[in-house]
Amino acid sequence: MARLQAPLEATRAYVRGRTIRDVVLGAFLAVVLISGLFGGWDAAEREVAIANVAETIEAAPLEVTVLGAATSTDLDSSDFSDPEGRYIVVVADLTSDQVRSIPALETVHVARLHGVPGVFRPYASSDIPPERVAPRLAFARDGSMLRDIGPGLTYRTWLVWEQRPGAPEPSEVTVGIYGMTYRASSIDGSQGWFDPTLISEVTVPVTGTISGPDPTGDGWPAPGGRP
Amino acid sequence: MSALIPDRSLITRKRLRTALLGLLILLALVLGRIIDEGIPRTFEPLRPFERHAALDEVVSLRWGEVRVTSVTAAPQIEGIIGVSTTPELWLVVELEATPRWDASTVQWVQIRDGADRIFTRGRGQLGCTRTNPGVTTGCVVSFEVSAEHLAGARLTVGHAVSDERADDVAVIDLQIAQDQVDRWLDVDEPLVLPTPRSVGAGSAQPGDRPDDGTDNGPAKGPDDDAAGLP
Repeated sequence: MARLQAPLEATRAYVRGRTIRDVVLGAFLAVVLISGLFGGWDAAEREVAIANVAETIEAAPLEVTVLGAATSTDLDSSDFSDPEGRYIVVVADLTSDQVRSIPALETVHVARLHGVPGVFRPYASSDIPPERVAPRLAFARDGSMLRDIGPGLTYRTWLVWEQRPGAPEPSEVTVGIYGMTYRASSIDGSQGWFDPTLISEVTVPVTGTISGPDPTGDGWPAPGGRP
Repeated sequence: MSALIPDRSLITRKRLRTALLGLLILLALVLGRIIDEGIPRTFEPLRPFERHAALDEVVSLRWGEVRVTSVTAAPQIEGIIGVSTTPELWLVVELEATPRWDASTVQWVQIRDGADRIFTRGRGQLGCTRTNPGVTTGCVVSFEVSAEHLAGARLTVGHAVSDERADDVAVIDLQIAQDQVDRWLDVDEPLVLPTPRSVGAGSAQPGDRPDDGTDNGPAKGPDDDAAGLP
């Protein structure tokens, strides 16, 4: 018993000699350290909704409906040269219900491919991780690059990524859909859409190939999943 | 009682100075917060000056004159790169611009539809050549627009490159009716995009003033409340 009392007494004497600030700080550090034993230091789990193909996702400022995915080596559009490897094309309807056009610089944040190796941005000055490569957006009915999206309009859209030569052709892709926040810019105070945040993930089978625009706009997905 | 009165030896000059400094910092923070909250957070001070007009009317602006000469629309347009389609309608506006002071032209356009929704050009073009003062140029502007609420749409025409803030802009009623919108939606053939044409000498002269006689006051219009940026 005397053996136990000695360290306790020593601790009490030590604490008595400390300031209140030191004691509070010490207690806080002890709590932080001990919380690690109960998972306090583990990475926070992402809470991301899983959506289905053809399900409409609210991802401000757009509504996104992913319809399918395909590959292509020739999109038959003057805005797309032949790829080094292949294009991965996700077809989706993008709708704006905003009161003013959404600038093209902001709409490119709408989606990223997750877990597809070999996705890259041609002519980029540095290597960008595949899951951070922004798609190029084109209107599926004529293959031209999309620009600002006006209020009340729905564009059947190609979201186009390029995959390096030799990278395995995916049988399915997971598309991360991102929403943003309308707020004032911290640089110049102007209002805009900022802070892309992952809203939902859609896993889409890659079926067939796209060989050019679809002027009718109704060609996806056709029975059997081929455009 | 005496325990409540602090020992005079504790109130040293140094401690008093430190306390005073802390108090001053707090006051500065409070003052900063009050000033910050008092400063306008909107773009109201940068609200554009608007001059309202209708189709075929000459609008006199600080930098020159503009006049919308025609408006048409179709689901498809045909330009130099071929046929372009759009989800609903291509709106094509022809106008004339005459700079007054410098070699310049129209550099910024938008559509405000009947529900005050704002459309930039989308994949449309602004074809407008810069001309010398007093020389009129023809401009062709195309917009991707929604057919819903297109009736009552107005074209805003500005001179600044980036946006309308603090600019002198013309807000021109395109006099579009709903039955006209319905007819445009039924057009099957692509609308051939006109080529911007040079027109010749205009009436805008250096020294001319805008019609309302004020060179820097906001013009008033029926929808003036919708004029400012958010």
